[in-house]
Amino acid sequence: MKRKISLILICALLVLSVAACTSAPPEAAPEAPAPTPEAATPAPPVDDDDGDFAGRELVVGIWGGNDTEMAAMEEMRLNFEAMTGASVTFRVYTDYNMQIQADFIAGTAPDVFYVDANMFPFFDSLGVLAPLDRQAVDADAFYTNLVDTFVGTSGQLYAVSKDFSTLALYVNLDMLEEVGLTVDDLPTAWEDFVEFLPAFQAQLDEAYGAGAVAAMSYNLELARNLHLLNRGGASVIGPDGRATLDTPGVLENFQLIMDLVETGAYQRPQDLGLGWNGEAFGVGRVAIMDEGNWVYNFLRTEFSDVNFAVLNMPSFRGEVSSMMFTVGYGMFIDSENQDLALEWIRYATGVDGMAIFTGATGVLPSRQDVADKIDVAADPFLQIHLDQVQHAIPWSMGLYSSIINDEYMNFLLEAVQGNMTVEEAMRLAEEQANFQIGG
Amino acid sequence: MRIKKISPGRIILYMVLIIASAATLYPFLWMISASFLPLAEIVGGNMSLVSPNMSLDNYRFVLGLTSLFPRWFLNSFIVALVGTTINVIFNSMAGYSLARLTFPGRNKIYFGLLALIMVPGQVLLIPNYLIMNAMGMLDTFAAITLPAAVNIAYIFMMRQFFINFSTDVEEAASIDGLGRYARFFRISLPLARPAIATQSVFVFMGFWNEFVRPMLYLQTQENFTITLGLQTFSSRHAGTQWAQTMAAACITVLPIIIIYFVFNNFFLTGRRMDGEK
Amino acid sequence: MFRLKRRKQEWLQGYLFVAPSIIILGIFICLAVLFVIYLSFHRVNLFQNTYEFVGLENFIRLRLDHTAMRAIRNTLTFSAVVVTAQTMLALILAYVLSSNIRGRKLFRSVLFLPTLTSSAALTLIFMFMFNIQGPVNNMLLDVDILSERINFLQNTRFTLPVIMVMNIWSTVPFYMTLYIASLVDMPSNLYEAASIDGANVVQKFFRITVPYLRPITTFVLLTGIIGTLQMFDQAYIFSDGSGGPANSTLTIALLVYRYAFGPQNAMGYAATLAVILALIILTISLIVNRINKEERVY
Repeated sequence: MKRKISLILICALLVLSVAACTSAPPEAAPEAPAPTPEAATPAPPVDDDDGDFAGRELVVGIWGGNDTEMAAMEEMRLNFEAMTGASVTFRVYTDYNMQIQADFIAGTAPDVFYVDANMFPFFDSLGVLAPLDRQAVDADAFYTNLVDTFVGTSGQLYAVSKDFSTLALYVNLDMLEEVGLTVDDLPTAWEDFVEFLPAFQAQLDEAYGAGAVAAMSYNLELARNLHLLNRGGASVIGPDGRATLDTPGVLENFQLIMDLVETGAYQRPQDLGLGWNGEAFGVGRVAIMDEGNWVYNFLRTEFSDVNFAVLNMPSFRGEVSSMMFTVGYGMFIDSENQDLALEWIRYATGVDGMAIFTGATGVLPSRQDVADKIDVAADPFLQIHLDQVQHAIPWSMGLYSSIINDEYMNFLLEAVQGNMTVEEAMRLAEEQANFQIGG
Repeated sequence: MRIKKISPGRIILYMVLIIASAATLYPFLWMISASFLPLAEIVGGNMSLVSPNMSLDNYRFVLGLTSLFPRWFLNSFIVALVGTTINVIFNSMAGYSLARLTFPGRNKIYFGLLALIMVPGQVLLIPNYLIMNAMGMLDTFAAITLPAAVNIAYIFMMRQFFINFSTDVEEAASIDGLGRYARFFRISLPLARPAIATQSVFVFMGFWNEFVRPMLYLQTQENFTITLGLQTFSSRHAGTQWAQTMAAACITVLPIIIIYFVFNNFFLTGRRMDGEK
Repeated sequence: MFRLKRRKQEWLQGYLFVAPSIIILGIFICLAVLFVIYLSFHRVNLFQNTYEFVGLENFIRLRLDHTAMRAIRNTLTFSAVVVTAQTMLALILAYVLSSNIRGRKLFRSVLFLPTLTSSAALTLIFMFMFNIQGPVNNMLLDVDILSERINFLQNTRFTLPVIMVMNIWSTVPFYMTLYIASLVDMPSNLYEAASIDGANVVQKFFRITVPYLRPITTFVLLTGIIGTLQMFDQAYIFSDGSGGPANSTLTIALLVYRYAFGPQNAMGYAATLAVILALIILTISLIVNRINKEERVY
């Protein structure tokens, strides 16, 4: 008996190893989905009603969200299934960008999946997205800059924004009051904050004890700083997507961040031993921050005693701008369910689907008709976030944004910690980023 | 009455031991203490290890219904148990073969193994990932257990054991007409219990504490092992949920501590690496 | 005739018994080594599944790579500090524990505890200890060593040293156990002779124990060097895989991972870096071995 078991084990291993030997050389590795021109023709828009999709199965690739988001997704799934008769499965990725790439390689990617605007240029370059018909997805109903974000190098549209978020200024009203200030006393230009912060910090130190509350917090990431760095015609990337950090315009713009840091009142949440701005603001360690609207519900639920206001972003070089972040739905080019996938996109980014999701989760609707439907204007703070869409720039920075951002974060941290000059840090960040991008 | 004089040398020795023990225990005590404290107290400049506010809340959260920790714990247990069983069988077989059986190329295999033990593991990260991918084993427990299904150090340990161990009993069994496989599984293996226990303890601990392979190969949260789960949990909370993280860390460390106290002797004899001893 | 058949049978049995080990090691070590060398001469694009031969380009590229140089520098510094400290501490503790003092079994059990802890739990415990609001800051403030809190996890001057401390803390017990195991075999008359000469504990340590343990010290140094040069887990967990802040915790192994699986998607180049790591380990090991041999001749 035992003899048999051991023999079986050995045989099993032999089989496994033979399988490995034959498939291990790269030539024999599973074939990647080579995007073929035939598959690139968009599926005809399907306008007709239920029934056609009965019994069909659709896989939607997403990343996990909090309970409210997942509940909204669930509601959308049920509605869609009732509408079409198809069944929908969510494939929830934990390490989205890595795992979905693996699925692209294996040719097993979901029929339709989330496309982060910042990852879009990369997905576009891989050719894994099917082009979408502008009419079919009702592109004209969306805010223009959200549509443009998902236009690929071919000039075609490849994904449809499902929602978005913007940065706005958050102020702790109780802290202002404590030091005898009101919202109207706050500067409306970043340049004026350089003057304002030291005095404000001194008042906070007096009221709460030295070091207890930082006047203002920030993040040293391109996703947050890009709108400042690109101001006045400067650009951190060139037309080829390579880094141009060490250029006079960018250097000059970054000086604003250095001036703010040098006030001693402008700190990263990590400097305070906290995870992120929202937490720092919630626990009362920070008086002012610029954050996205995701922090709004967070503060309302987790820190309901914090009395705050949301304000328009300050201007810089006489111009108001902000960052916006969006995620869209894209269709896998090798999907055999492109008609059904398109139907999902039309539903989830249409008035009904988007209203369910954005209404429940506090992200902003990507189209004005949905904003009207869920009545964003009823909440003036949320409306301020929505207003940023007029001047915010989308966080999407070409093919190499994560490489450039990594080096930016690495080297500019040395600059704000005083271990390097800004010029040196920018030069090294650019050099190293472009080195990794290769040539 | 004479008080025995304690030499200054002894005092130095004791001082060294006490400082070293304190330094060793300090992090553990903080881990345990923090795991019972509310977060507010942990980050509030608290200096004392005990507090009236201690509660099981963090554990309740970590082991709660919505938490994946129990699942990860179970995964780790399965991986470690299966991995250890396979290791014991394969290592013992190889050790037995190299010690007791004569066949052409045996010495070549022995020296080959000696050379392989020198290969630095991190260098194999990329090729092994590609091999796993080609074998379609990403995101499975097999990806974690299979590459570690044998361990050269313990093959050597088993070989040494079988060389030193008398062959009398096995020969008697051979006269009784038992075949080679029956003799190995029914006679030799049971007799090798001490050596097997030693390797089991360390192999189990190795699997339980393993981080790199799960991190590289596992993708679905439900499949994570406890170490990967712990790291993921902490990073998802931007590394600031110290209270719950410490509770989870306590739970991670606990099984090994139990094994340690049960099998204390295997740990302290220093037999871990030098199978030649 | 019969004997020949039996011998053949034993051959077969011999092969069968080592087969599982040979197959597994063959695939995951031998094949993997060949594969990584192969990769290091290629540019790999996983998406198009192309392996383009580029000769030595990856190796030449390395010279221009500031990040790789930083990783190599970090790794060598880390290795030098950690190996020195862990070897000295292990030696001292082993000496103390093998002397004839009360409660040594208990002390030994306690001191062994770090070895049992997974890198994940260990790193998180230390990150908690060293965080800006954590026990270490509180303690140093309390005894007035510090006047203001240090952000050990963010300040690039402190991040690598923190990882060094935790690595030393977690590896000393293992080497200590190795030393104790060989001190058990030490002839007791060596100490007795020294005692008659009037040597105290410190003198005995330097005059007798250290020289006696030289061979095992070589082994400890080699194991320590090989281990520290491959440092990955603790740096990964500490920096959440980035090697940050500002590359201050970036090790070679971590950079291999980042290049291979990060946005660079540069498996071939990462493989080159892995090969370089193997070469560094090989070279340093040979040097240590050589130095030790020369000393032994003397």
